[in-house]
Amino acid sequence: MLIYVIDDQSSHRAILKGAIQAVFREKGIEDFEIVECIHGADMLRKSSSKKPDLIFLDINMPELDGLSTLVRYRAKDGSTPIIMATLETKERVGRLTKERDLTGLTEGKKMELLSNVVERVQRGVFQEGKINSVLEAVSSLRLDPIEIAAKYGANGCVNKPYKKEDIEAALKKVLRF
Amino acid sequence: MKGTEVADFLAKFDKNALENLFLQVETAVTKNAAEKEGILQEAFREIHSLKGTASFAHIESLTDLLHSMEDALGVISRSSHQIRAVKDTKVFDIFFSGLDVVEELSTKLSDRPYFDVRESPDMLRRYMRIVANSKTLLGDPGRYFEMTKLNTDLF
Repeated sequence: MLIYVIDDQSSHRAILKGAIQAVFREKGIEDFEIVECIHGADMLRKSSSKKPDLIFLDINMPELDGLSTLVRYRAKDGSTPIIMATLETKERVGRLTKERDLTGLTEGKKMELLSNVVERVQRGVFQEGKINSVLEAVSSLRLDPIEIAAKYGANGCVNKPYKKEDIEAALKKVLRF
Repeated sequence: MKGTEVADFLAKFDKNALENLFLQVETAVTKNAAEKEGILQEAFREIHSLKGTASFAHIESLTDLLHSMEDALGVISRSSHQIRAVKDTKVFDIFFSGLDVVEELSTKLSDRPYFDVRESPDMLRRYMRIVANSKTLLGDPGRYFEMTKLNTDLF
């Protein structure tokens, strides 16, 4: 089993890697390999030659953010489980929803505008004068990044700081062991 | 929480570099989106990363303070396509005073790992002001910034 861990912070990757190894070894699973990637573009490059069986994907990263990586990867592989990772707790997302929405847009209009950006990102098109990042579009439209990740094919989400029990629960959900 | 974990945090905390970054945020905030995007992202990443370090070390007071600074940067970043002018420059105190308190608090914690911010009334007052200003910004960005409607042509 090939597991991809994508996070721009090396200490976070190390902790996540350690938690995955601990869970797998407790289950008696030894036949697995963990590939570390420093951002989404690194992951897309590496996964083109070594297809992952499971992906842990941080949302907030430089170069290519987690949401942009998700929609680009899902355009070519609809089945590999993807678990998003974020420091955004439910409490924080709750606070985000209390932020005064000055966009003046309906939910329907927001989703329509977001789909324009998603479509460009999936095609790898960079357009001058436009928003070219799904995370930036989600932020500007005051949408919940975790809900949007689920809508575009993420199979789960774990919060940082990573805890072994959360990783185990996420792995149980997607791998059913 | 151990002294070594606070020392790890302090090793990553470069106050001068962050002050320079926030000065650039202050200058860039009213420029067009393309010009400010990079600097806002960099500032957000730096504070997000520092908060991650404080959170992994279970230093709750620092994590909460950095949370407030990150929230404020998040609002500015989310509003980056709508901000046209700064109405009240006090908004930047969240960052500059925030860095002062992060430095003082982490130094105290490095001397005494169980230091509580409530032990210093002056530090507590500044700490609470930063948190309160960040909440005000979150609830009402228009109080600090002149905002326009979101331009849907950007999408």
